[in-house]
Amino acid sequence: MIDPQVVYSIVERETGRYVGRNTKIQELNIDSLEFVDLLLQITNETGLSIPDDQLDKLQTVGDIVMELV
Amino acid sequence: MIFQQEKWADCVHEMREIWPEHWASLALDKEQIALACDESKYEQGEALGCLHIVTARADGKLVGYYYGMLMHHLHYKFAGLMCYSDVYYLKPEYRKGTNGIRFLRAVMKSLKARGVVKLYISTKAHADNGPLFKYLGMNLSDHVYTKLL
Repeated sequence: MIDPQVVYSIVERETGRYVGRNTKIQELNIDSLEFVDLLLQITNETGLSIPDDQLDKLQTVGDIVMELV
Repeated sequence: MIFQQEKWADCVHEMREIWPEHWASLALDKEQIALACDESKYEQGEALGCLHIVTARADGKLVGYYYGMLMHHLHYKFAGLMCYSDVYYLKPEYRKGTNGIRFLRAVMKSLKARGVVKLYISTKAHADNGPLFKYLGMNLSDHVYTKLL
């Protein structure tokens, strides 16, 4: 599994907010389009992505880390 | 937020309240083409079984809707049922996080459950949802041009 800190750093840089495993995606103050941009950025930098059938499950930044494959 | 399939008659009274803000935020050529939803046509579509509505509700209140028309493609009548999206909207204050993604995934899931084999959905050029659609596995297939005559 990827180092969670790598993902947290990308999320922090892209959203301007300090995040941790339990930070709720709703609290990032971004809409779905911006969220997709964030996921694409994570994919670009890590080479990992989240299958679209797992997107419904994402509640926290920790979930993003867990679902990256 | 809850996404669910609903009947026109059950949610139209709530959708009516949202149409003006939807129209104001996304419609083009507003000075020439006024908002005037032909509700009888949708009622007919529902009676014929070809209208498909999925709503988004927060604490029971309608905050978004999707509707499309189901029919067999005129050129590919044996290819299966297809859905031609009419309109979709989620109130801006409810677009946070994955809500939009979950909404569209709920739409696709409900269409698949009705036997739909292909979804057609467009996005405004000035409010492009393309990256979201692509992330959901959709392919860009057409560009649409309009002109007032």
